[in-house]
Amino acid sequence: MNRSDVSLILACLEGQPTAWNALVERYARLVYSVINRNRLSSADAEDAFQGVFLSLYRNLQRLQDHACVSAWLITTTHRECWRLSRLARKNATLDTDVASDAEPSSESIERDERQHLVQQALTQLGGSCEKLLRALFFDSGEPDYETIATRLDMRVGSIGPTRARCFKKLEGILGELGIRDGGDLFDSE
Amino acid sequence: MPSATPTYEQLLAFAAGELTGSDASAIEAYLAVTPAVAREVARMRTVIGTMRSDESVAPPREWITAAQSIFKPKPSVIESWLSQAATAIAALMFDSRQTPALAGFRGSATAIQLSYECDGMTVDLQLEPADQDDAGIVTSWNVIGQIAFDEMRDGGDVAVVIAQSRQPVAQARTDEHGVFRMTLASGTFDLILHVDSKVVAIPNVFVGA
Repeated sequence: MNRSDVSLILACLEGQPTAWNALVERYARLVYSVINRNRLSSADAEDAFQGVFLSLYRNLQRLQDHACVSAWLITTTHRECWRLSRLARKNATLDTDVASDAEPSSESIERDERQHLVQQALTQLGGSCEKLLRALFFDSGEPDYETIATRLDMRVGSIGPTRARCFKKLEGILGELGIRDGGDLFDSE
Repeated sequence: MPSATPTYEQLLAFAAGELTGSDASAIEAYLAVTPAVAREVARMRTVIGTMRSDESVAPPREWITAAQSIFKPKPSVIESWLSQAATAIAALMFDSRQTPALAGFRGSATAIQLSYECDGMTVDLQLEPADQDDAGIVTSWNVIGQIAFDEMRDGGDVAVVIAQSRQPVAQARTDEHGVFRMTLASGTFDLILHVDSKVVAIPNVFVGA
């Protein structure tokens, strides 16, 4: 069963290392993707990654009432990247490209949160459904049904109905994960 | 052309942009008069768009492992106190309360003698009654401690911190003879000695008869 962020944080505060490991696994990709967008050197990127999780560790007490940690992590990662890029700029030429703002826009936070939730939902979905949806929607270009059917050992004709079944399950998971302040991150209205 | 009520599979194909011509038009017309289904398709489009625009990759495994190693499990109460306070724990070598025949050897007959050893250091404590209540029960004790080293030491005085329930309640410094004095209420205490770069703990010293 997928534990909520609150449940994991409470377990961390009780001293359970497995809960912390799960929290890091859950958010590693999100933090890394925000870092990659900020074009830091590889050394600074690694420092930023560890710095963000150290900050998370130190703020567990404060975050235990948060319904979801992702927005906090996105903002913290962005600030950490901005801080490191400013340091790098001081030590380099004025041409060094740096993040323009310490604070990410609400649109970019929502975009990153949606990507994180979809990744989390796919991981929770698992199995052949996860493999099929990733093959159909994540690989660049038009999906080649023949290739996908061969790779996943399916009949081409079954891909459509199976995709629908798997997508419906994914939506069910997202329906629980995506709720924020009474709204749904995936509702356009 | 899809049926009057599109199936979920058809709606998904439409949301994914896979329908064209009359098939797409039919669903558009249906959505125009069924706002609830239109919202559902919009949501599908958002999820599909999120997946298609996702260029994220997982970080190197060693980064994840390093981040996971940040966590320090909560130690037990005793371990926490001692691991934070001390680099060494002194062992009780002599307690006059357990050998009454030697009780008056160094001081008055009512004095209690305790002796601890640790890492080339000896700590002697003498407890003498200071106050007593109406029933004659001793309520506080004059504590005289002396710290002696097996080898010559260049360092100065030793700071002594007395703690109870992990909270400091008294402190003192040794004089040129390595002696310190304080008055403590009856009870159980931890002594923390700051000796040069070392911190020596004497846990669970019972001050009482």
